[in-house]
Amino acid sequence: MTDDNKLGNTLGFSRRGLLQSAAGITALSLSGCIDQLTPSGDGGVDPVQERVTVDPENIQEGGTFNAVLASGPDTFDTAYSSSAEASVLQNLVYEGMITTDASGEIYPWLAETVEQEDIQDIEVTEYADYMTSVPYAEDDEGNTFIDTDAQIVIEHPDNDPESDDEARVLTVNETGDAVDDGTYGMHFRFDLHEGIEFQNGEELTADNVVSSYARLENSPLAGQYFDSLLHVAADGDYTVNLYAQIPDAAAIRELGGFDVYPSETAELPPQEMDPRQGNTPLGTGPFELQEFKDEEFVVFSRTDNYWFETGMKDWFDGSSEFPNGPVVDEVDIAFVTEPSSRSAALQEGEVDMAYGLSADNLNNYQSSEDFRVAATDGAGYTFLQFPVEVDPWTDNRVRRAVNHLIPREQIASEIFSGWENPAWTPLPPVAAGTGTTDYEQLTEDNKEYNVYDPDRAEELLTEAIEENDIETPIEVPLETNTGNDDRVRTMELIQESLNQMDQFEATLETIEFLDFVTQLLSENYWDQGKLAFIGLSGGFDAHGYAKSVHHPDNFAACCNFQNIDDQELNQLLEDARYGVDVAQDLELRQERYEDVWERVLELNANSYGTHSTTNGVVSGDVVGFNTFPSTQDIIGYGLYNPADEQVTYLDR
Amino acid sequence: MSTQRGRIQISGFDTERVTEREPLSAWSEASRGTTQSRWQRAWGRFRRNRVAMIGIWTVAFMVVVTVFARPVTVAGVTIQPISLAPYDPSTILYLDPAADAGRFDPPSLTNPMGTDANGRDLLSRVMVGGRASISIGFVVVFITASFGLVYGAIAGYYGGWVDEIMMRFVDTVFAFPALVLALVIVAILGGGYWQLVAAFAFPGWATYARLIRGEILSVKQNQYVTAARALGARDRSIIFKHVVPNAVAPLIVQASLSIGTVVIGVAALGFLGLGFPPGTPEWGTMLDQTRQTLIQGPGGSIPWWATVFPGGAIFLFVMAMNMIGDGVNDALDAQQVGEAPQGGGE
Repeated sequence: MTDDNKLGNTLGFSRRGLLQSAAGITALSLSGCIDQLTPSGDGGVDPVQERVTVDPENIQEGGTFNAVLASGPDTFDTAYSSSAEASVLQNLVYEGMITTDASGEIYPWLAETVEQEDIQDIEVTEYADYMTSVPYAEDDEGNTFIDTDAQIVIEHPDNDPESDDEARVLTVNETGDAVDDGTYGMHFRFDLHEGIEFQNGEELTADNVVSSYARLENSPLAGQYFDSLLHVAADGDYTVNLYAQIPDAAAIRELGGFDVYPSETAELPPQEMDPRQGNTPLGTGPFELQEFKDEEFVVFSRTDNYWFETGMKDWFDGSSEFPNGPVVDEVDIAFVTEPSSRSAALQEGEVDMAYGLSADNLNNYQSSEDFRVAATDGAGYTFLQFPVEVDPWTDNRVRRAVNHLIPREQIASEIFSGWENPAWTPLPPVAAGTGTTDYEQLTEDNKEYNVYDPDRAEELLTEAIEENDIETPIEVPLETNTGNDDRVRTMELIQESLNQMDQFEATLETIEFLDFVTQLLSENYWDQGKLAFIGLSGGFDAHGYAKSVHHPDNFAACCNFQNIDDQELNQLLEDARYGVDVAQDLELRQERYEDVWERVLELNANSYGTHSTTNGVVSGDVVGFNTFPSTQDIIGYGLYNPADEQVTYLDR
Repeated sequence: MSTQRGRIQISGFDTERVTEREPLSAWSEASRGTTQSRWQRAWGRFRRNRVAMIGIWTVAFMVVVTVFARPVTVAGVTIQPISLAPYDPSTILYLDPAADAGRFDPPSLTNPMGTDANGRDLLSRVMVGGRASISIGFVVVFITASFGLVYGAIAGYYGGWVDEIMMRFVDTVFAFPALVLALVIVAILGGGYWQLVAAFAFPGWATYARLIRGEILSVKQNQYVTAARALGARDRSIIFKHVVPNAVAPLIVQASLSIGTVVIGVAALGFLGLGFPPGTPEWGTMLDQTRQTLIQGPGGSIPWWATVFPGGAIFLFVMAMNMIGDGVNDALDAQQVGEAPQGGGE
């Protein structure tokens, strides 16, 4: 499964990168085997609410699992995809060297074993000897960029485009040399299972992994990998060596799970790995793509001779009768934009599972005997991002005033009927394992920043307005996406809350989801002075919940739209994830993230709205279905995940 | 030679016989009345049309309610201080912990039409909701009818290649379905009051132009037009003093029917999520916001009030406007425009 930040538009789909946490990894000794990671216990609380289990003896094989999602995939080419709905489909076909269970524990998957071979306390400056000089250039809009076609892995910290003509960079062409000389931060060794076949019959080898990772180069996902990834190399047919730039507590989780493709598709040009380009996506996954009609439906059939067997995994301690793959024959997924139409399809028996229903509908299904709401504490959150480079939003008191006017409690209770929870802290419970030593205490400590408090907002505003001579009323152009009524209602509530203050004049514009995402990811959004509200789907690692929406690496990518660059926060983030100390001491890392959250709230470049619950509603025929915390694997996980002994069958 | 020779003596024309004879009819100077213009005749007929008068009173009532629902402020100056609506239409009631209100509360004494999906008072929103729809209806019809009148008059009066070119352009405008064209315009310009005016005005004028041009083709053949021309009147004077006043009746009928059409169109765009930002108290937008409630989960009940009241307001206004339009049509005896699309019948 991929671990990437994805934007989401549907209820509880806030898609955000599975920047998966180092919860398990930090328990590793310097050369610990990942097999022993499983019971690390750091994040081991099952987020699935009222999990249903299946007795393998009762399983009925066969049948077609019909599901309905809000939208189709932007592309099947993972490295070029930014939609969480696309990941749902990708995760049926593609697999990576590692996988996780619902609580975020990491398990070797295509790899038989994963070992952390080495960790070295080095700085990025130590790569200077391998760097090359590349000229700066300007694009049509006058933005300076480093003019090279090769993926840049590390830029020299002393580079200065103002005074220099050239930049010193380490690109993927030089990383091999550095690794050969022993210059790297971490070294992981993945020994692949022998005999795994792709859906086109090709046998999986280490070269496939290397060529698959190469697809990340210069892709939209590059930023999420090359902030830590140094080099991937094959050693023989079945061993992959993966190197991180510097000691990184989240390295294995963030870097180890990228999809692996056969040679036939790995060599395709960027964005071509898609049926709309005439190329069938291929992987090692449990389902093969059979038919795809853009914006209408997709049909998958169970992969013939799927490679997996529970006996191959030492970590599997379930029943010997537990199946070796999904038990349904076919998965049909329709794309229906309207939540009410999805709900109608479920009630009419046209589909077995509907996702992204409105909170009102979920209440109805919850109280019905014929349906079941499979709910899991989610890895998603909504956030309002401020144009921190545009006056008066440059003053954090104005931003914090807005934050105090977000009625999170009412949003959660009135609009979401309790299906989402107020984000009293930026960290959702699903990532608590790495992000804090005591989640309850953290919530208590952070809550004062986030309570609805018009009086405090007034104080902050008065101070800022008087000091900076800000003209009132301050215009607040709010923007969010269409296609999610609950989200639009949330924004209407915030708009009304702001307009109750004389100092604010809020307006709200809604934009079609993909258009909105395109605007947000452009380099031109940050100086328009607009406040963007959207959802993000994340993962088990605490880092992404702060980094994705704050760090300059994520500017014009997911999801720093407003060119946020706070040196203090950047440093805190770095200290919490990188370094031998945090890579080996979970508690130290947790403590450092507590400083991160404090700074995030003080800075208030983003206001976190609610933490999601991932809800899939299934009909009575569906037995055993549970949802994954992230939208990105809601179907794949539900149908089969031996790490949680998760399997779904149809009792028709 | 007699001086009397050749003279003709006519007798019998003594005035007394004429003035003192029996009157031929009962007419007398005293009994004569002034000539009743056709507008007066039309108004008389209109007033006797009960259906049309119900329409007039309904529209008047709705206009008064919407104008006085909340104060009107222009450039910071309050020009209408009266506030009939019990709440501000954008106030989310549950935001105030003291208020005992929630989302989709059914009609009650406190909220006679219930509350909407965001816990706002529906009565207040329905009352204020007419402002956008109704005023756009009138503004668009005024603009389109005025422009169409001038355009059609020029084309019809001059005829020939001027007519040919101008009417081919009208044909081009007609080639686009009006609502689809409005949709495209809103998609390009974005939502908002004047954008919607533009969206409906652009395709709307063509109907008037074609109508008035046809009328003028017939009116300009009349002798009074020839006479005016012979007396040296300028074209502008002939068109607007002699031709247009005699050709304008069908245009008035069309205009009265079009107001309803535009209001329906604005509501349609609002329902499609275009036109106004979400949360705007506008009938169509309000319907859009509750569209998803029409399909509930198992056992769920539809909050009927959230759709019935805004939908009812649209129905009532458009129905009333159509009743007025039909009344005007009957009053002006301009049945030939009966084929023109009426409100809701685009």
